[in-house]
Amino acid sequence: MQQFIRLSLILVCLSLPRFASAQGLMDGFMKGDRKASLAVTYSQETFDTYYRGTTPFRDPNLGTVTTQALNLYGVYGLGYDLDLIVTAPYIRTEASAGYQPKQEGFQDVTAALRWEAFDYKLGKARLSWLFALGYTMPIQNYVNDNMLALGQGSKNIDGRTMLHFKSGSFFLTGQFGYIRRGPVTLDRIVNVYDPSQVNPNSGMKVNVPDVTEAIIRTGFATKRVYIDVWGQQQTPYAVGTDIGPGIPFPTNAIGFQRVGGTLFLRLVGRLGLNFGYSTTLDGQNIGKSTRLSGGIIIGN
Amino acid sequence: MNNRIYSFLGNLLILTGVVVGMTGCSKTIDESQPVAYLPTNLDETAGNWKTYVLTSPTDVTLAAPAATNSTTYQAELSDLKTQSKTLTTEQQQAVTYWGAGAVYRWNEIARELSARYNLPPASTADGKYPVPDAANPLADPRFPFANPPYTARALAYLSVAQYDALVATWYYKKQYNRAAPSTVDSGIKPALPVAAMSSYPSEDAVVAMASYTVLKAMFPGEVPYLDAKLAEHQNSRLWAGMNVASDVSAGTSLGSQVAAKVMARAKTDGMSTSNNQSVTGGMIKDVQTRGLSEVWVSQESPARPPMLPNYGVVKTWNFDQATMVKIRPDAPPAIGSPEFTKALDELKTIQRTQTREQARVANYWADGVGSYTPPGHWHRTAANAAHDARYSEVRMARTLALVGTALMDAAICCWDTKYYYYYPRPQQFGLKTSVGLPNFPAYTSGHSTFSGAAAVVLSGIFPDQADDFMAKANEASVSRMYGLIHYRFDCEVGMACGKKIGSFATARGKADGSGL
Repeated sequence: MQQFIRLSLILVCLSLPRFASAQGLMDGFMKGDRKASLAVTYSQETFDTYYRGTTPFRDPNLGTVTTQALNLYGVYGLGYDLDLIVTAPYIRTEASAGYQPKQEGFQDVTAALRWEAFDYKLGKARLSWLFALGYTMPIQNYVNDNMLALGQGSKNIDGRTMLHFKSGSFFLTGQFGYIRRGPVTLDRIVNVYDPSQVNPNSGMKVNVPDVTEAIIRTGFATKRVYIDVWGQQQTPYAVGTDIGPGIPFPTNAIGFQRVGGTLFLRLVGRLGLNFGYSTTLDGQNIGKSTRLSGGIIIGN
Repeated sequence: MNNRIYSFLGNLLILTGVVVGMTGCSKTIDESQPVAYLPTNLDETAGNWKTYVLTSPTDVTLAAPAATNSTTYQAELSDLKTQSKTLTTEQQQAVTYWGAGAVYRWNEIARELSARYNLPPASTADGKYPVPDAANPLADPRFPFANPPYTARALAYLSVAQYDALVATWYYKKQYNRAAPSTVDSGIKPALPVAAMSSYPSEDAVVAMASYTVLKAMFPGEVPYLDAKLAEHQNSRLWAGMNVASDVSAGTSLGSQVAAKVMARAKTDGMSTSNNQSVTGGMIKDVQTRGLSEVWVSQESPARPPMLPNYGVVKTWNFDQATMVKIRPDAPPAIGSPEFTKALDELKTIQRTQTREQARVANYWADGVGSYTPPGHWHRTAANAAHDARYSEVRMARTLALVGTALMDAAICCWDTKYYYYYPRPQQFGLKTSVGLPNFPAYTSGHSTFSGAAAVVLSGIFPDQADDFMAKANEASVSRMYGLIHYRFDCEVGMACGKKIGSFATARGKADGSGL
């Protein structure tokens, strides 16, 4: 059961199109030695308002942007205190108005190690301290410098730490992460020298601002049902640009504040279903999006 | 238990290393910067080259300089010694920056301003698009909207002013022949290579003032920015020990006089009527009379008035209005004709099967909103080629004036053609585009016309690179098909017309007395 729970928590996370985003790479539940599972999740995320800088904006030449993602997610316990997590989303994103063609294809593959470094018993409760390290790279050389894009195209290193508290069916997890994003090469030569840009230059290579991320999640996990609510704050760490004419999209400073919830139901044996919902409260250079997801989990 | 500890320590070590690596490594992106050089040829007879607006260098005047043994000059020398002896980091950076080339840098500045001002006005709540106001350039929308025709014109006048001013400079340099400060006094240690020619007037000061005057008129909201650039450029010549103060002030006077004459042409070249929207009704009626079944309509929401529908009346550089009408391309295929259907089907196929390489080409040449447009792109190509060839300031200016006037002629000719035929974009027949949809008729392709013209001129100047320039032009042209906003005939006919336009500039270059 716990394996299902872990997955149900994680798999709503990992697709990251331009205006979609995840609620963090992982949760605080460890997989267990030599145990594995696979999940397939479908999600749909829409927005008709996006933030130019931090100002909400509606573009009649864009309309409503809808991003659908099919996400494959696998986790394997390399040891009782070390998990390997791999994920790869396939994405389609399109606008209801204007002349932008839809973008579709594989986005980024992520591999991450999660390590439970400390495990304290506090009476009947347990507190664990975890560290995780992930690496993300584009599966294909998709166009990244556009309003509608599959992703930012950068190679990222994601480092984070988590405190996970569990008492009976109640749990509370807090985590903090830093995502280091590598530079990307555009299809074009940047024409505008913007002093506020991450790395003003006249070439095709530009920096992508790093971000920090904080997530708090709490809920109840029983044998058959799991339910949680969470809040996530992503904040640009370095100076970046705002969405604007001629400004490369990858150099934009992206941040957001989201809340959401997850429901997992165990069906039979090793099969479970999960559902997720999230909405954006505030943002910076990102869509004010609402997301619904559903998936099947198979595994031990 | 020991295993647990070792595993823990090992994992901790790896994580620590990665975290240090993540936060420690720099995100600096290094790029090679253009540097100063001694020209391969000083072009000492350039004072006799044919100018564009001046009838002769003596249209402008320059007083004779003080002799190098005069007390006035000696005082200037001593001041120069002080100024150039020790430099702050900022001063050193300014010397290096401007040392790359006066014409080169001001062209770069003009491109940057063009990109910054290439912003179509946003619509108001009542669905209207306010027109930028030259008298109030920083109000919303800012003036100018530096679209391709505007940018082509701004860069053309800049290059012509620089060229005419430098021809006059070379004329007076020869006449007055005052040696460079470091030649007069070996105590002056110049920071840049010194050419063996007269330093009166300072060619840098000439270019600075001529460029400043043109750009101040073209980008009136940028006066403080341009003031600072002008002052820094002038001062950098003193900091570098390259010119005494009177070299600079003479150059400033000369540059100012020439630019005033060039801007007098600009004021009466017809640009003020280029956005006259009242002409479109007649244009549409005319083209419908000639048989066009579906005219171009803005696809933006709300519909935006077309870009500069009357730009075709602007005065050309290298041929007259009658010639322009003569080289205007023939009519495009009728909507629904087999030729039209074939061209539209070709775009539908590209939309269905577009490769990543086709997308890259479309994006590389898009040069859309927020960019310095195709004319700026070709100015960059020309300036870099001339810099690589270590051209003198006057030959660099000649190159950019030939390319720049050809590009403005291309803009005028192409815009005349676009509004003469008022032909719909493929988006009126259901195609998408990711490169930005230009808000004016399709036929002929502006990119193709600009690129054909510039590539022909550059191939004449740098024959050994002709294949490369033509390949670039062809790629720019076909990029508009990959971007799905032009039919093949828009591109091919535009390219052919552009080449004709370029050949007029090439012919002028052959006859300008440079022997180049």
